Amino acid sequence: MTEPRQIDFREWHRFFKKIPEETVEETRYYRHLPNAEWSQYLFPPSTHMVYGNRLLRKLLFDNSPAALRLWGFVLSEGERIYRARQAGMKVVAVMGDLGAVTPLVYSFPDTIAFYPDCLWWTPFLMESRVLFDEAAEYGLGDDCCFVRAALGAFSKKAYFPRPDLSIATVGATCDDMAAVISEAELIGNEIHYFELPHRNDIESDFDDLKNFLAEQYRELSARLEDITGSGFSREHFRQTVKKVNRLRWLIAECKRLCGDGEKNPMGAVEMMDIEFSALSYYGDLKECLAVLEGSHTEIALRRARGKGYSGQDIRLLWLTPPADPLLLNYAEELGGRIVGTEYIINQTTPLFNEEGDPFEILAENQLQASLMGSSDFRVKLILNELEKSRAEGAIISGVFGSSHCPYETVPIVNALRNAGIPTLAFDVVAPGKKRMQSQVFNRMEAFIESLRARRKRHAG
Amino acid sequence: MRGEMNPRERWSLLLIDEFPDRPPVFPLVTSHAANVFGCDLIQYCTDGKILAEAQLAAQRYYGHDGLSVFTDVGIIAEAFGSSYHLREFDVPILDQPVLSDLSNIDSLQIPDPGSNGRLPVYLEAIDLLFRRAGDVLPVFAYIPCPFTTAAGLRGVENFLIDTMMNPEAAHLMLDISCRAAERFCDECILAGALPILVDPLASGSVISRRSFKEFAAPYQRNLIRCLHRYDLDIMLHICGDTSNMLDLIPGTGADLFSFDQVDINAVLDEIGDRVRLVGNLPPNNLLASSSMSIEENTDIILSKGLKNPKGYVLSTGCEVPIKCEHRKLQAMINLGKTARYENGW
Amino acid sequence: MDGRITGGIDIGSRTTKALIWDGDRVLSRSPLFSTGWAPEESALRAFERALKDAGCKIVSKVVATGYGRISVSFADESVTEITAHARGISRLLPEIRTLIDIGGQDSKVMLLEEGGLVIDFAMNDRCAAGSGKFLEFLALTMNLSVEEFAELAYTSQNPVQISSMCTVFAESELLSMLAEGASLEDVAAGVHRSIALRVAQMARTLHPNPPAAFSGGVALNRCIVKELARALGIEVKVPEIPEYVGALGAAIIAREGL
Repeated sequence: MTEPRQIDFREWHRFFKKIPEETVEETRYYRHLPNAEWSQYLFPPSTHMVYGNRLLRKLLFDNSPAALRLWGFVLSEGERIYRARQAGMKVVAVMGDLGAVTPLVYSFPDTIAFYPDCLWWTPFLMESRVLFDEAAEYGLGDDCCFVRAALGAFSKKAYFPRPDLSIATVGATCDDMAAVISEAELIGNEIHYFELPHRNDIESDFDDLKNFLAEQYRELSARLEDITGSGFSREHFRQTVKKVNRLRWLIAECKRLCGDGEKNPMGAVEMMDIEFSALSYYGDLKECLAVLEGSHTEIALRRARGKGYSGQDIRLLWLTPPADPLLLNYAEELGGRIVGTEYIINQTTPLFNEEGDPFEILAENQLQASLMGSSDFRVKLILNELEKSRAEGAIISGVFGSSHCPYETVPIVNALRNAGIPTLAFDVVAPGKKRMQSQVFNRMEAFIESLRARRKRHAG
Repeated sequence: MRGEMNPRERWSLLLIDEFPDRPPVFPLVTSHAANVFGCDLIQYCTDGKILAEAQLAAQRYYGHDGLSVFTDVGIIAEAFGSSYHLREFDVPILDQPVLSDLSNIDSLQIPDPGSNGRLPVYLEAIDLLFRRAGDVLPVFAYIPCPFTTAAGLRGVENFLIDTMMNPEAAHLMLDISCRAAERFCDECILAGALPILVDPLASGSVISRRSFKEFAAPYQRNLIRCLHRYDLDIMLHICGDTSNMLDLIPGTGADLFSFDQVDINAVLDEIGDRVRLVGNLPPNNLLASSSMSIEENTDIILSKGLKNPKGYVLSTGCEVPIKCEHRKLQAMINLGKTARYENGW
Repeated sequence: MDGRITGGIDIGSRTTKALIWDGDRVLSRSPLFSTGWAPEESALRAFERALKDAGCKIVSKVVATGYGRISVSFADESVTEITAHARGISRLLPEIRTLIDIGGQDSKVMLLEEGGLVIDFAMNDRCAAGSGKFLEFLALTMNLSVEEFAELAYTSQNPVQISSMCTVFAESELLSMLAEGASLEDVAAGVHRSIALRVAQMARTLHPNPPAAFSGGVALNRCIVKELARALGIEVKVPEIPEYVGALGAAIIAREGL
């Protein structure tokens, strides 16, 4: 095992030459297509950088082969979805907070899901305003959440193939995403709407809500039967749910291992890749699971041997996913260690029941997600996470214009401050605004300095 | 315009077997950029900032689908120690090869891209272009293949004689040239460019099929294999007449083949199902013909290229002539931009 | 003096200043140098000047702070201006619990615990309004130096209300007020009040505790001090050398650590 370190794309480029060719050849997605030359994915960040992901020049990556595999898998998702289509698979777009829809999609043979919402990382990875400018053509400008990049991608037709089906939330969901979806529909993309009930008192209305959701899963299943030409199979569903449960368990376990222990065993950007795999498994559930098993093994081994990065000791809780991954790197560079996160994807964390009516299983699972509750409910979850993580400070990376942020940031900040946790909240700066970004960096630096001084004082 | 793809998006789709809105239009605008920008070629070849500015100026002017970092085929040989004569109005030419005789062949050192010859000029230009425009425009670095570099180490005639009289020495030179090219490619990649391999001296107009098979193709293949380790899509460009070696091209591993004086139908028939094609308006056309005839010729090539099952890039057969009238190249590019693929979404 | 002499350099967006500290008192401080386009050069000039004035050749450690801190390659460490100002003020006025710093291009409010520990902070670094730049720009519009502008404002009994928060719009608003007959004093005072209100608004998000202090070059402007106290409703003290609070904090951190 190599000594855990964070390295840049140059170093990975050099190290990569030492990885045996057979290993590269064996690392493939869609393993049921054994002759697909294009399905290798174990390549270093420099490969993806040359094709336009310019941020990779600035990021720091974990130096384990497991992390390389994770990055290779994540960064090849765009191509993978196209390849799926070329190989005759059905491609389903899932938009909004639909944690329990993806397992249903993957229960159908040769059918995969992807999350257009995740295109919000593309402008940051490419350091480009192209997708934002395209969204602005439809009236969604800087006062809309970064998810507007997904609309840019629907318009450009160059970031994913035309979905065989697009499913989107309506109801208790992000307003900005709703705007993106309705514009995407207006330019010719048929949308299957899935209604998330409003944030009611879940406990007293549980049965009604469950029946309401289960009925929608049934309808969706029928729709997927039409599209795929295959009947819904309970057995196939059960197998898929088992895999998804394993995946969710692995994610939770990786998070837990990263939070406790002497040293931080894995980078925050890698952990973000791991957490977000729960949304749509990066287009290949089986391989995603294998990738995560690898990451988990590496993290667990490091943890068992007390290995991790040096110099990262200020324990931080990170709330709301940063569209700009560089922020996570920067926090670590300043000596921060991300010991807990709440990335507003709680709909993807609860484990599924493995027995019972499939559609009721899905409905019950969805109802456990914090996004179904009130802001207070989210605050409670965050305080829980805070307690588990023993964080010394919290950072909230908000998104200007996003409907989550203005409504929830204030109660969250207040709750954290009341709990005695210093909290830094800022809006992530869109690409191309260097000066504003350096101001955010300055705030983070001041914040981590103050946490360090506070620790020293309390120890004294 | 809503929904219009940019060059980066077009290339990205092409390289994963998808159809962009239209084929990329990518004439080999190299030193001609100096003409558009208004600098002399000594400045262009020795100052990375100027090279980058000139490329950006030319791209803004014509709106073609990519940026080209290339000055001359001697760039690696020069870094090994050959001297090149820089000229104000034309590309550099070989002055004094480093291996005037073969006695000092063992003393050759693989050049350091950060300091030897004009290799740093490339790296500076790539870095600037990538930072300024890399999100929308792919940056291509033209890297001379081992055969062409070896000819620059020895002088063309001497090297061709070596291949016949002293093949062992020729292979030694090719091997070290290959390693130098690999190292330089690495740095170009890290600066943000996708390598295009150019092997003008391996042309059928210069060497026989047998020589190509023995001295050029194996090293092209080696270099491409190194780059394929990184999953990069590699374009191989060979000038002149390559009709008698077309069948050998897929064997080099090239993902795209940029061809010059060959009938496009022959290329399509022979390798179009395995390699993406890039070509091939004769550069001479851009000097001697009227805009109307340029449009007609472009149209003929384009209509054939569009049918290539592995994808197609409209280009010139070789570098756009330095002194090409701007309106003529514009005529070709504008016509290329009117093409549309029916496939896609 | 125990021989552990340290240096602090504050490279602000407008001015650079250096200071030499012996653990007990300030041995010397440089004049204010314009930061300009070469922050490292200004830092070196200020530092050399402070060294010379202190009559020493070397110091045991140098800490840089301020917007240009990372460009000072000869500094041993750097800290943000938040941390430096907090530490500096706690030495000068240990009782302070809220510190306001208005700099050339930004403004900050810090809540402090005993010993200069930062509990929380807020920054306005996005907009010139609420910074020294706003004042400078509008003084220039009136053809006055910043000092003249401030003194004029101090005499006003009836400051005008300025609604534009943007520097560019504020300029035309001022000109039209003057054209409508408002006095120069009242307009100048209005400008000062608008900055104070903006900073106070930011401070209120942190629930500021008394007593408060005001550091940075703008703290020498007594009209802003008056308006800030009025807007916040608490007393606002000004330390002896408000422009050097950051440099002092940096020098103390160089000696004592964070």
